[in-house]
Amino acid sequence: MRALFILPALLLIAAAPQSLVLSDEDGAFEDIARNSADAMNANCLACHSSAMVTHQPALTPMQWRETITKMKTVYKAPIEAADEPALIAWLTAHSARQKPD
Amino acid sequence: MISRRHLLSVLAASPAAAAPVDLGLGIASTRPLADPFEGKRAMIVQRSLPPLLETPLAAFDADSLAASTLTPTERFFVRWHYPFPTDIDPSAHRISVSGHVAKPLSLSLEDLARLPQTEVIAINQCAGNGRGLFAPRVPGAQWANGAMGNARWRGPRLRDVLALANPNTGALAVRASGLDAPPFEGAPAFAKSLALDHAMDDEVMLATHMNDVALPLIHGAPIRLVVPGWYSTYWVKMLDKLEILATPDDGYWMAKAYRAPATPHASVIPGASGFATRPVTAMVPRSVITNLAPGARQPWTQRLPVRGVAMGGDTHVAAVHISADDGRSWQPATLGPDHGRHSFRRFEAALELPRGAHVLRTRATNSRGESQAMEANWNPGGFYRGVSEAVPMELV
Repeated sequence: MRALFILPALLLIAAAPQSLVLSDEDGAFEDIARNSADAMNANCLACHSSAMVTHQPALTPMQWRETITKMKTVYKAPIEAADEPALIAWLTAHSARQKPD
Repeated sequence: MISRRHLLSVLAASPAAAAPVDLGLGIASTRPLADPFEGKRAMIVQRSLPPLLETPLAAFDADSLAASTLTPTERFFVRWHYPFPTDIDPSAHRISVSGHVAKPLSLSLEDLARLPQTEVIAINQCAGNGRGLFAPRVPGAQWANGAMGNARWRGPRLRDVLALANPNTGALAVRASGLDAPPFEGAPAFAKSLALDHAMDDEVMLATHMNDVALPLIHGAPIRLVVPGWYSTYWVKMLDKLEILATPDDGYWMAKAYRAPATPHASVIPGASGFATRPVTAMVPRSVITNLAPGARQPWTQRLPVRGVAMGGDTHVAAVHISADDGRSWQPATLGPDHGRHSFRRFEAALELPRGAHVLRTRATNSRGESQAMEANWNPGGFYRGVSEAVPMELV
């Protein structure tokens, strides 16, 4: 590392306001056979877009249950207890569908 | 003359730029390259929001050892845990320095600009880089090996900022946090701590510039922590708070998350439990091939060029070796210039191989004599991947 002179021009650049437009390109969860994606779309997208889930490897129902528990207890996601069976069903169906490319 | 804009549009439209990348994850592995928002080009979108963008390894490639090792900012990986402001006015930004100090402060960027400025070329790498390659697989961001990048960072040293506040006797650690915030109340705000002696060293800095321009918003404008040699989890973005602690940080992001087994290579037998853990800290030696993807079918040539980038972890790269027989025999690669102990270092070799299937491996050794392991480590968090990666390919 080396000491540098302070260049006023650089300070001006650093001081310029910045803005950015982000968008959700991942899209909504979709039904898998008879497993409705309604509960997934209602409970999961407040914190992250869908690819966080759909890019996960095949996980066991127990692992998905642990993940939901972490979302509720650590991140305080207001997941309805009544929705959890539907979440597990969808997630398990998604894992079962994961096939080598 | 072809304008830069025209050239870029041609490149963007060319099949090569649009070709999907196979991340080698086995499932959900083949991904398109996308331009998810302004300032980012041809990235692997692991998640739109909050953004997780991975750099395809080909973005690190160059056909000359003398080429810059800096990752272009538009290809630099992105990782956010929580939503963050998408409008930043640096002139209004303040950084509070509080806690176990004689003189609590609120500093503007102008205040920081009056301090001595330093710069360093340093690799910023996610602690979970390569998590998607773990076997058995583990949950989390499913990165292949592109959650890393090398940049030139500039700004004041953290120690000079802390000195202004004059930490009290008994100060143990500095906890840094930024403007990103969890969506729901009660969730743990992202915050990471460094021991005070580490925070006061020559190298830890607050960067206002990345690759010679103002730090882009997506990389943590207007200022972020840079902790050379340590994983990116400590490089807190949009930094607005430094707390000097007199007791160990028991917050979620130090005490529960980003922890790995306290074992060699942070490795345990898959499924193990009850092992002691410690926070993820310094990086380990790594190397990646950048001109050949796993599964590549290449026309036979007498001398096959193999090249890539290596890192020493938290010290210099001393050597890189290349194998074409899955690690049974090795030959030294030629190294590019050393841009400092925290930088990528380029390597290349020309291999004389027969037609047929080959498994390439590269193995970096750092200046402490530590080499990449031949067997992959495993831990439930997917941290500290450093194995010599196998790249199966075929000469036809």
